[in-house]
Order: sequence, then structure tokens, then C-alpha cells
Amino acid sequence: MSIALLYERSENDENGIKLTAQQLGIDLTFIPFRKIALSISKDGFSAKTKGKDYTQTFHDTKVVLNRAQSKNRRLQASYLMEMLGKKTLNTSQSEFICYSKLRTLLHLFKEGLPIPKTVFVPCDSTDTLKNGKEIHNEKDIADLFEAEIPLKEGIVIKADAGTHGKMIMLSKNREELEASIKETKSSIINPIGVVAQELVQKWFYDLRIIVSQERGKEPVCYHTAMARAGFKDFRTNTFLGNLVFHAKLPLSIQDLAVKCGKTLGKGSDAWIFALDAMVNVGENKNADDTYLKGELDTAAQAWVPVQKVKQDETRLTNFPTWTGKLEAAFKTYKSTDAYGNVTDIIEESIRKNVDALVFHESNSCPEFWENTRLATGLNVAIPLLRGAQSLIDH
Amino acid sequence: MITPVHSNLQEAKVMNKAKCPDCDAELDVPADTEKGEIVSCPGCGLELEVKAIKCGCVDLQELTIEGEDWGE
Repeated sequence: MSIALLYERSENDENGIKLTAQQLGIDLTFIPFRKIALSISKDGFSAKTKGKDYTQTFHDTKVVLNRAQSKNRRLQASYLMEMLGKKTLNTSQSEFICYSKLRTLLHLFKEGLPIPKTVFVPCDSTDTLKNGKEIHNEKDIADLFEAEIPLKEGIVIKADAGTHGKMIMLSKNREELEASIKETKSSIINPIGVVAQELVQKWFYDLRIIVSQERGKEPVCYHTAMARAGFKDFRTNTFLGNLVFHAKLPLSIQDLAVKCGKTLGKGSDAWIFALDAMVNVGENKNADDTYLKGELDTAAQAWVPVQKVKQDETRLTNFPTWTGKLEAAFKTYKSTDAYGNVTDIIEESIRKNVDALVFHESNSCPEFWENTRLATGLNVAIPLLRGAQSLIDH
Repeated sequence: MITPVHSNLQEAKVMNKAKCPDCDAELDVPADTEKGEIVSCPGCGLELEVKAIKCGCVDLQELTIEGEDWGE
């Protein structure tokens, strides 16, 4: 019985999982969940691509590491594999929760965990009548949001299931609010409704915190988070050009993160999540913004070689060599004074605002090879593979 | 949208050999395939771009695509 890596394309994270499995001596089989025909009938099931029969691979698989990039395919893959009697990491139940920011927040809210004030209106911004005419609901939706969140402090309109900061819009006046609501169109990733959130005064950074559980062990939160930082935008996604740093977490935050993990794991034996959290710093800042911007600008210069390696096409032809180059570039970036200074400010800020942290999202299939691993020192592939192993061993 | 140009490789007569960079499956690529064309691997279904053709050897590279619901 084996562990199968289910994937659509081998991106850096999937290649990183393969490389780590080799280093740990863990056998992996591979299930390309793409152009594969999954057939069920009274005679059983089969799984075949045009050129290969994966049916026996499916039979021999006990645990599936689900790394399908599409959220919809990932959800379908977990469910399908569970129905075929496989253990999944993460389970379809956790995938279903993490798919949606609203569902994630509802589960955290139910357990009394800290979240930003969030408002959901099930109605879409535009309805189309049978005769083709459109009804615009932006004003009604905006009224409902404004009744709950003061607009002068900022309202963030979010796609319920978007990634990389896409379709996340900040409004500070009525015109912007209605425009943001109008912009939120239903799609395969955000089928209905509009989500609004209070603007958390997070200063210049947010946190990505890794929590995991292996079967038979207590859940753990990794002691160091990745901080994404910059003044470019109210969104701190690295995709939008922000920098990454590490940040040691106070024990009280680690404990809260473990509670989030347990909540989202829903009693499954093994799970892993990357939790996104913001610290509502407000005016309780521990450094001058002008100084900080200068340090971030200096760090950004040191970040350029890291970005260059990331774009280097050797990652497609020689992944281990490319990884070595990336690690060397990252090490140089981390050794700069600016990196150290910004890290110190972030860590002090977290300590000073330890009770002001809110969790706003959970990722069930996190990216990690390029940033999280090198910023925090945690190779997420290890708890992922250990979690899968624990499901076989017990 | 990317459309594989040779989805049924068996129909072509003269073939070059290639290897999928992801799953190592052997591919038969029609000899008249040109640089930049897209083929799909019969083993894993991945779409691959022809990067170079030299003396009957074909270099293939994964295409980077991203769907609306892709991500963490």
C-alpha cells in the first residue's frame, strides 16, 4: 500500500514534494489527475489515460496527497478518492471548508476564534430577467454592508474563493463600494453573493502560519510564520510584489493556530493548513513608517536576485540545481541588515499586539517551496509526507 | 485556449521520439511537427510545447497555464 501524489501539473511545490520524498526514503506513486478517464460500473472502476492504465495504481494507493491546482478538481478528487476507500490529505470535508473564505470564517466563528468582522449577502450584484433586462442590486447590497461596517474605516469586498489577492477591493466611499460590488461577478469560483470585511489596520504585514497533525500525535503549529510585507497595497500577497520575512510566533498565537487547525481538520486523523492571519496593529506601531519604508526599499534591492532565480527556466529542466540556486539567493537576501531590521520590527509588533490577531483564510493546498520554506525554515513537504505516512502506519 | 495540434498521434506516418519531462512516458511526435507546436502526453495528459527538434530528437517543455479556480 502506498502514498500517491495526485496532481495536475508538476509545479515547484509538487517537484519539491517528490524531491523531499526521495530524501526521506518515502516511496511515492503519481496520479496525474487531468486527462484521465475514471470509470465506474457494476463491474468496478478503472482509471486510464490514453496511454496508461492507472487502475492498479489506484488499487495500491492507501493515502492520497491531493495537490490538484484547481480548487474544483481538488474537491472532486478528494471526494472521489474517499469514495474509493482512500485516505486523503486533506479530506474532502476540509477542502470544502477551505475552498470558501466564508465557510472557513463560519467554522472559526463557531469555535470563538478571532476573525475580522465579515458580512455576507447571498444576492448577486446583477440579476437578469427572463426578457433579458438586468436588475442592479449594488445599492441594496451596499446599504446592507454599510449598516454593519463603517464605510469611513474601509470595507473590503472579497471574492469568496479567490486567490493571489485577485478580486479583493478596498472601498472608502460610497462610489467605490458600489463599484466594487458591481465588479464582483458570479463565476465558477465565486458562484453566488458578495462578501465584505472590515479593513484590518494591519500596518504593513500579514502572517502565514503552518499547522499540521499526524495521526497519533498532538497537532502542532510551526513556531515561525512567514510574514508578507510591503506598503505597495493594502493586500500583502507576494504575488502582488510584496517581500517575505520570517517571524517567530508567541506561544499564545501558536495555541490559537492549533485550535484553528483542529476546527478545520474536523476530527480527521491527519491534516495540514496554511492559515493567513492579520494583526490589527492600528496606531500601536513600534517603528517610524519613513524609516520602515527605507528598510523595505533596501530589502527589495536584495530581493531582486531571488526573483531572477525564480524566473530561471532551469527549474523546468533541472529542479534540484535550480532549488540550490534559489536557496543560495534567499540566504544572501536573509543575511542583509535590512532583512534583519524589518524582521525585528515585525516580531516586536506581533508581541506588542498579541491579542489583536485575526485569522481570515485557510489554505488546504498551500504553495511553499519558493517562499514559506525558505523564509521560515519549514519544508512543508515534510509534515505533509509524515502525515500521509502516519495514515498508513496506524 | 490551447488546442493540441496532434491529439491523435497514431494518424501521422513518420514519427520522432520524445519523452514527457513530467512522467517520462515516450511520445511519438509527427515528423512534420514544428517548434512551438503543442502536443499532449498520452501518459499523464500534460500539454507540452515543442522547444527544439534536432536529428529526430524532440525537446518538450511543460506549458504554464492557470485556470480561474487555481490556487491555494
